[in-house]
Amino acid sequence: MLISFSVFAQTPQYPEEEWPVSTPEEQGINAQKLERAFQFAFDDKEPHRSDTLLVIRHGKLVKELYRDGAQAETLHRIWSCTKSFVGALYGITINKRLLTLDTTISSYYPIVDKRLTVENMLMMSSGLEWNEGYEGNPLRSQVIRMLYTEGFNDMATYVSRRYQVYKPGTHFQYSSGETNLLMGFLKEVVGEEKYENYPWVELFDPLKIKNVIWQRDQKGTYVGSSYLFMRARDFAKLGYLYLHQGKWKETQLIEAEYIRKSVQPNPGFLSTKLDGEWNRHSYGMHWWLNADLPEKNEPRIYPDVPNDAYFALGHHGQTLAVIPSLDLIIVRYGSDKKQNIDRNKLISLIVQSVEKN
Amino acid sequence: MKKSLLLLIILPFLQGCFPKVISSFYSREYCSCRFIENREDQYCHWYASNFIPIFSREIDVENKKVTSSSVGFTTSASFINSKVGCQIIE
Repeated sequence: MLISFSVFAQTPQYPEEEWPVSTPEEQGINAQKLERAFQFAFDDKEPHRSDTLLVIRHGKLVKELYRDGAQAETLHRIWSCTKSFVGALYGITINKRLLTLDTTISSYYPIVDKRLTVENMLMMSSGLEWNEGYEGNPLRSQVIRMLYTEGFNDMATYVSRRYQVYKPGTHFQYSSGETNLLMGFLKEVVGEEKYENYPWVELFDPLKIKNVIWQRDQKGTYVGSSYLFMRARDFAKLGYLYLHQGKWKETQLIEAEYIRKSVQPNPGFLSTKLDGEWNRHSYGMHWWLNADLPEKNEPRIYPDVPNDAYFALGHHGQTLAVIPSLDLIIVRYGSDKKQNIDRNKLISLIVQSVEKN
Repeated sequence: MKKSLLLLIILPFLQGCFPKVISSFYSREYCSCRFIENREDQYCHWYASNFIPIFSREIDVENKKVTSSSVGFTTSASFINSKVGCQIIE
């Protein structure tokens, strides 16, 4: 049974470099039930392989576990979860009035369709041709070509040269390419000199994320699709920023309206019929959602998780889950080369351990 | 034996359509695993390996550089610094 707490009495307490620590019980969580989730995550008999699991409730770290050489200080790769940081950087840049969601990409990449906007790209609805296969489909994969062979020198330019297959904004196609084109575009918007430290000055430093690595392509563009490395405790801070509508302490880093839009199913996704479970794996603006989808006559992707939950998801099982109705944040790092962890089961086990506000 | 036969059959195709990806992937991901995540060789080798094996590799721990070869191609990746991590360098 899902319990929903829509109103929280506590004033948000923001973490400094580290999160304040608490016990599960003090934060309304049944410790024994929570333990079941950790047992599932780290069960050697399961096909998945967890490196880290961390739970934060009411702004306090209630439990964390590390394994297989991963530690609290490990800068773990977060793969495609990196995209949600790109979403945040765009929110910040819009808040600084350096661009809008309607800004056209062709202003710096004249080769692309003149109608293509920042919003289209954040919603993965550029309409550009793309194949997002990894190990399962390496020969046709454009993401592999972009990251490792043809495109790795200048990923944004590689993506800008894809064919325009659909009218911008009308067709959802999850694409690491779109995020890397966004990062190239951001460099042009803020200027090369500022871009060098932009993620740190505008996002990591305010959140007191001290130790983070963001890999770049040969042209110096941050690989927004895939290559952030950070501690699990720091990753959770992105969730906390979104949970609090873009506000960090006294500063509104991102407009609340941008956050709201980021966690709503986007029009391109709603109008696109996708294969199998992808049709209910809803998407906002660089965040995955657990929304019910009456528009598509589809249920939410994780049936045992509240429908207000949203996620940064990455290759090999990387997960940041934010559940506003429970004031709950979960980070799970994995090395799921064999089979991804059952996210519905993992998150629902944690959800079921929440018993009080 | 089966694996070698499969490789022999698909090698020309791989070389035409899929150049360097095996060694590029291995070198970059091993470099990140070992020199950013600070994990052990055995884990990093497992993590960076795929269904087409690496034929040779050289791990220069002192200079944080990884060179690997597969299906006729060689790629290196190196740890640049503690802000940008690893990059494919050749």
